[in-house]
Amino acid sequence: MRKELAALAILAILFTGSVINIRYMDELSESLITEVECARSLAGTGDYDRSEAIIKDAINCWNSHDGYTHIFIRHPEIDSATDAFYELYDSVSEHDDSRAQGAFEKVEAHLSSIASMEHITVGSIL
Amino acid sequence: MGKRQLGEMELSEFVVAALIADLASHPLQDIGIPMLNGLIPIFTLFCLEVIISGVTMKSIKLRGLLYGKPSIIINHGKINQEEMKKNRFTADELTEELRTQSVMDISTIEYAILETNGQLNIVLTPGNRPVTAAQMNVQTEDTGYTAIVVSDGRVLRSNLRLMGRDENWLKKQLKSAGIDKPGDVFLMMANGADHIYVARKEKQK
Repeated sequence: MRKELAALAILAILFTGSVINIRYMDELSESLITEVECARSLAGTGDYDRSEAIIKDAINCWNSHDGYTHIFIRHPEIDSATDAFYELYDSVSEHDDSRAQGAFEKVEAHLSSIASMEHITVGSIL
Repeated sequence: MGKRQLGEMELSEFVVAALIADLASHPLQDIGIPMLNGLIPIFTLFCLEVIISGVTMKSIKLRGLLYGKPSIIINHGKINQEEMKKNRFTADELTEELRTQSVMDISTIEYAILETNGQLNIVLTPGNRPVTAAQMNVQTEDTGYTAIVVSDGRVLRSNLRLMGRDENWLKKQLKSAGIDKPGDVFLMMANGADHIYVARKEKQK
């Protein structure tokens, strides 16, 4: 019976850990998307300098979570999101509005995708 | 799963073992997949297996549902073809199993039971069963448990204690076998009736 109880305890720990991980990833992606949205609206008004600064902050924030992301997220997903961030930074610093619009979409899509991947849905199971 | 081997596993245990092996291989083959993505499902499956095997120990119904029930393939010398069909057990497989167990005549079988792990157990009719010492009224000596006392020159003190012996007894036994020290012994076994087997270490070439 001890073995079974220990197994149940481990399962409970794993489940709790998964829930904490999902919440953490949601919060991280939400905060980054908010920053990107803010940068997008600033770029829309022509304030590229502030937009660039916010994007840089977002990139720093994303990179500072490297230890976490490399343990929990597939590495190709991390690389795609990082590339999308730098592509966005490049387009905004060059004041290239047409490229920036696509790059904003790309970053947001990548961040949403990473967060939703961690969620348990019928689609993710099937 | 305990100490059982691959051939003794139940179907669900085999599936879990195969899944664990597969899950472990993915992060090793693809460096882009974090190790944790393999470890978490492995731990989950392992825990589920422990819980399921624990619950099946308590519940006969669940055990039958998950692992199936033994099937009587031969009943009083008569083959139950319906059961054989159900278990996808062919006549060739049956005869092969019987030959493996040195049974050539099906009419000598009282019961042949196909166990849930795929093993066929045979119970011969009383007239064909080997005669036991008790049936012959022969007194047999209780030799007790045979334990390894010295293995490759090392004295297994726990086994000595288990037999209620000490190192002085060991020294005496070795002396009577013409051996100076335990280091010269490759294998020494002894049982409760003091029957001793000693194999001297071969000299290295």
